[in-house]
Amino acid sequence: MKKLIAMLLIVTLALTSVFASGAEETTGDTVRVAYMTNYAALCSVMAGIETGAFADEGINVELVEFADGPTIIAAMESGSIDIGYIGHGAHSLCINGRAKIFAFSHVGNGDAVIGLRSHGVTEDPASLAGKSIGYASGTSSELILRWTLEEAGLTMDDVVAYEMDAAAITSAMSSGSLDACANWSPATFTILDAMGDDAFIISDNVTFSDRSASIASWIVMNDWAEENHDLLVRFTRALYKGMDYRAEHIEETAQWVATQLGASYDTIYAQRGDAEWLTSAEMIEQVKDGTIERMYEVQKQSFGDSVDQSTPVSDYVMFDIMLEAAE
Amino acid sequence: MLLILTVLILLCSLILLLIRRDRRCTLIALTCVSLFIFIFSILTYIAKKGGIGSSVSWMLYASDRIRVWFQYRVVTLETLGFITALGRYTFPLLLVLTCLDMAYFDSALWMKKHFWLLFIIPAIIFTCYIPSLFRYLMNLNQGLLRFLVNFSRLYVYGYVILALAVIVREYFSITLYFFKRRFIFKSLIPAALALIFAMYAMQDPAQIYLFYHNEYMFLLGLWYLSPYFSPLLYTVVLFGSIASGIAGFISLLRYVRINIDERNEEITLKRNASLASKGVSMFIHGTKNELLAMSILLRRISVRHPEDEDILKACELSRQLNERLEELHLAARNRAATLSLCELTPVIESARERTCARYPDAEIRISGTDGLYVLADSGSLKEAIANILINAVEASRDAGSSDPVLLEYRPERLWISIKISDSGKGLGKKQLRQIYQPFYSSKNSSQNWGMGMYYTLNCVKAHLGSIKYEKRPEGGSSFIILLPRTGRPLTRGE
Repeated sequence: MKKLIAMLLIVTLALTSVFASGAEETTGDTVRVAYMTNYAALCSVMAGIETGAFADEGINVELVEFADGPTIIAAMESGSIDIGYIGHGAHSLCINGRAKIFAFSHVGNGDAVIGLRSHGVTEDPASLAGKSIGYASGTSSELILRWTLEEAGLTMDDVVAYEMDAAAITSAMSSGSLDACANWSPATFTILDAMGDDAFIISDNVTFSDRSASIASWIVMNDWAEENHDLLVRFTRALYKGMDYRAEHIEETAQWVATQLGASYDTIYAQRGDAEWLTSAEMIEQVKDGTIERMYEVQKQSFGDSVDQSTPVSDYVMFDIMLEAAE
Repeated sequence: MLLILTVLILLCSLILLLIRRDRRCTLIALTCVSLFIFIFSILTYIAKKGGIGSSVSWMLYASDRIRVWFQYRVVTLETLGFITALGRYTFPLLLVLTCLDMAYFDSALWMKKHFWLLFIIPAIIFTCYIPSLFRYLMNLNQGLLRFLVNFSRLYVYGYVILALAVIVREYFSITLYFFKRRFIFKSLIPAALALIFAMYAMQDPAQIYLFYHNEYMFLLGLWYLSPYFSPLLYTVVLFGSIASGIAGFISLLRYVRINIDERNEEITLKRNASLASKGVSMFIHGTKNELLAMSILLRRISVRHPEDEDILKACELSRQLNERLEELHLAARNRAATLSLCELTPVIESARERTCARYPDAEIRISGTDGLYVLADSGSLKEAIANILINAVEASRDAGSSDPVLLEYRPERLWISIKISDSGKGLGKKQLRQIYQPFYSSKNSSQNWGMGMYYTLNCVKAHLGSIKYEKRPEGGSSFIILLPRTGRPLTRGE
């Protein structure tokens, strides 16, 4: 037994040293990038990696998968992630000073409330009364569900709401365990694909475009941005190249994303309609004419009292980086 | 990897429970079940939350397919959080109870007697984590949530440290090498389980209840993305948990194997003993009447020819043969011992006298704690001890040693140990398996039936005890008779 324990210790130490030193030697700066499992989060960065835009800027990108934006920010605070992609919900954390936005990604239409006809749900949100609905509490999923219920004069107390994570909602809807759900892309596509004609969208971001702009952005920690200004500009420049390549090569980009996620090409390709995708030139134009700042302002207002409304957009959105990278 | 190891440890503990349905195995199995519940729910949480690289994913789940399976489990956050709470708050308690069950020092005995006290803190914490109550408390005051999280962490790690402290304290309280060695193997099980648990125990169920709640995420922190976990340290920690998992699994397997071996040996021994007993009975019944008749005839002849020395020798031989047959009969038959409280020292003294009657020049050095009392059939216990003493004297002589045979007796954990050590050549594994078999003898002598150790084992078992063997580092053998302690040591005045 003593020999066995000694052997185990030796194996542990050996494996540890192998893993510790096993990382491939790379040249340039390594940036750990957090993403979520959808086309919107990965399309620009994958296009940048595959076309060599990041390599040209001397950047080696390490991709790490996450389920949601707040977790990405928590990981960035801990130092295990350098740059992250966040959806609408996590922007409240940026407004409250936890992170800074250095690049605009897109205005999305990925959130949706989906119902099942066979379970008695109709296009009228009032039909959700008394139904079992899965949602992800504290996210844009909850927000869009509340707004949808409000449309019909209902509240969360009028439905049987189940707090679940996005993946569990997808499984539960696909197996018919729920009557309706509020989720985001690509889970919404998975559900619609799985349930065929039975599933339909009751409401999405467009339905509530007057109340909020569902913006997605690229973020960093304040300290990291200050210490790595040059690297951040180079990263943004490579990201722009990725955005521009994506605009011209949607199918190829979708294939790269599908490969990265281990998903089917069709599922990923179907997500191309989740947003209006801008090229870098279009984005810079909108930065310069103030369109993007206004969108962030609308978004901030949609968070209501949960954020400090007096915080100027320019405090947490680094327009200077966006412009410098475009030069 | 971690998942597979946890599953294997659980299976092994359940097999152990099936083989040996006693309190200790039940506690070990329950501890493994609670660890499994905890790790299973944590892996589900990590899979759903993400943020781990491919190498860490492999170390936790073994394959991406398994990780995705966890990720898409249909479970509400309330249920997942509750399952996590169940595992997290029952494991430390069960671990302490398991370790206490292995411990016999005074404080441990006191804790065992008042074990219900250990339930109070976990019961309070677990109640607070029942989803509806947790939600109520969370809405009441955020400070309360912070207190609950910190207090539960204090409990979790406090109990784990207590359990490990019990193991360490017990180890140092054991004096017999045999017990120490065996205890190390046994203590590896809770130690390995504690290590695996401790690495992931920072995960609070509150983080699952509030899965997407931004404000709480930063209050509670994400332990597995902690800044202290540098890639190197994270790798060390993960491999550490895997190594401890393997060690725990192997020690569990070892424990199971020992149990199976002991049981098999016991079955074989019983079968052989039963056959031997029948054979001896038939042999004795078939010969005893004739031998007695021959003795009577020889005695009559000796009366008629008192001067004939050959006839006197024949009478003596006949008497010895009858005596030996009687001994054989006694050794082979199953006797129920009549136990009564008796002082150990006189029993040991009479065993020495019995040995010295056979080997008058034998040197036997006795040391021990006076005033110990045992529940025993003093006559048969004396015979059992004497048998080992005689073997020890013979073994020392055969090895040409003039060192005395040592006999030590003292209280040891739940037992009173009587250790008899010789300076012989020691026993090999094969010989050790055979010595308790009836009619086995390694001695080339007409004085041995090969029933001595068989008789001794039966006798000790009738006293609810056991016999252990260990090889002496300086050469020779030690046989340790373990008899149950009658509560705390009794002294002469009591």
